[in-house]
Amino acid sequence: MNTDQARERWALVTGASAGIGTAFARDLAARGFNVVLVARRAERLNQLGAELEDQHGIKTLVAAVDLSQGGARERLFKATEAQNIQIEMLVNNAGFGIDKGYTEQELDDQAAMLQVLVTTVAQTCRLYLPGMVARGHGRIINVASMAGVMPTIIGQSLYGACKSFVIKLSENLHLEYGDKGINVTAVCPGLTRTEFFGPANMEDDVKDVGDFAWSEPEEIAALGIEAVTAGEPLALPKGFYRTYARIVGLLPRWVQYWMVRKFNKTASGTNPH
Amino acid sequence: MTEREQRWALITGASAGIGEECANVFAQNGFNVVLVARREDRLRKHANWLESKYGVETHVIQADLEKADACHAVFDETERMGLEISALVNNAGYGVPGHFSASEWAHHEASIELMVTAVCRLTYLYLAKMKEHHYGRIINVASLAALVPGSAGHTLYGAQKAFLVKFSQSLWAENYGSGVHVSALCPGFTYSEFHDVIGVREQMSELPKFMWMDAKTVAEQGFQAVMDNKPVYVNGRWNKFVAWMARHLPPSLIEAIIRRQSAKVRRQEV
Repeated sequence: MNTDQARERWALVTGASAGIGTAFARDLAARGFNVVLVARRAERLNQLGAELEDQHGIKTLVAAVDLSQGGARERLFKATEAQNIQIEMLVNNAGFGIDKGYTEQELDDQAAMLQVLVTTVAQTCRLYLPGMVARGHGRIINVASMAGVMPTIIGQSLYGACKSFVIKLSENLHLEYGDKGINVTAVCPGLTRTEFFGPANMEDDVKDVGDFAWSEPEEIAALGIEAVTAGEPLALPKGFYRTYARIVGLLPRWVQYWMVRKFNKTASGTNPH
Repeated sequence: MTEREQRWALITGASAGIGEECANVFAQNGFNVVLVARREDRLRKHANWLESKYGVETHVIQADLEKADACHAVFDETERMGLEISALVNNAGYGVPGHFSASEWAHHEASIELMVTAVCRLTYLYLAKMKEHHYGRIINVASLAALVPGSAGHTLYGAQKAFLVKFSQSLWAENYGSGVHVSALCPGFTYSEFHDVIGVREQMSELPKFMWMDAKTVAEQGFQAVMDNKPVYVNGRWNKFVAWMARHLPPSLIEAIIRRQSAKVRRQEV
């Protein structure tokens, strides 16, 4: 039993019920990881868990929790501890978008966004890091966004700030814990073919964007896993986004700001007044 | 009465350091000030001083912004008193020292409540009013730590400040041309007059003097930056140089520098 346990490798994926989270769970299961599946929708998770166990002969644990609720992260941690599951690979993926200008949004939605995109990410890192440090090995992937890298447009004020937080936290953790065998990566998807845009009322905004700017969730998962394995703290999708970020990064700030203002004016019907 | 005389600036963490100096500079420029912090007696003393020195009106609100309802309590009070808040300085904040995993989560969470959640809430509550009046000035006191890779002990702090920089940039763009200005202020090492008074300034750090700025200068530059509608303002030539390097040097080189710095911190901890 001891040898079996030593061979067991566990990953934990939040927001595993759809999109990039599901893609991470599938990819990690295919690589032989047992997976803790975390999301609100138990039914979807059970289905995915059964599928992964069946296909890859791995174990899964379903944790149906709402990460926007205080106490949810501790309950999740206690659940994995109770099962004696040691998390080797942590994937903080859960997230969502809100449309509209900052003051037109609902305060409750903003609070939930901060809970899921900021507090949960920092807290799960804090909860699972000590075990990783003790074992001298750990991998953390935080799913950020190109919105955290590039100037943001109207409706992304809070989302972009949250993702900047995630990127900086990942970089700093990578620097702080790299010599303890722990790699931390922020992976920054651009437009990805998932269910993200429906709930955020953004389908119309993105429907005309060309194929070159779109990724499949499977590509993002592979990008994140490869980057964290290689010890790269920041991973951008190849092609369009990497080039775009490099070019925008070279531009003086005032040009970047001018571009955003221009875009805000033309792309959005929201009147800032 | 001119329009300017009715304007109020609300400053959080106003009982010391950059917050206190921000209150001074807004008062000096004719704003009435609302001082918010936990230490009411300090605020009252400073408010009295501001009234006599600059002839402005003041109001003191004792609040612990780490508490969930504190922002609404502050907002309700200024509404009840009929104070039109034209300027908001989100300054309250602190760093949790030591390694990220060495501190209890409760400490980290409290700092997120104060430096992220409370900033978002106060901004939300007052920004809508500012837009109605077509005039607003918001300063989010961030840090150079937002713009450079963090050494150990600045892991969460740097992320929180990066949040504030991005938040400010986005709101700046979103409100451009509406009369509302939003600026992130990024000071480096800052000492306050307080340290001079008690004569410990020399002992505060082994770092050379040119790396340090005083809180008064930081606040004055912040005031000018938000009036000029600069989305991100880095204080001082040295800090500007550091921020520029962090942006343009190869990441691998920066990483090596920071790792060395962290190793030094760890030796000191032992």
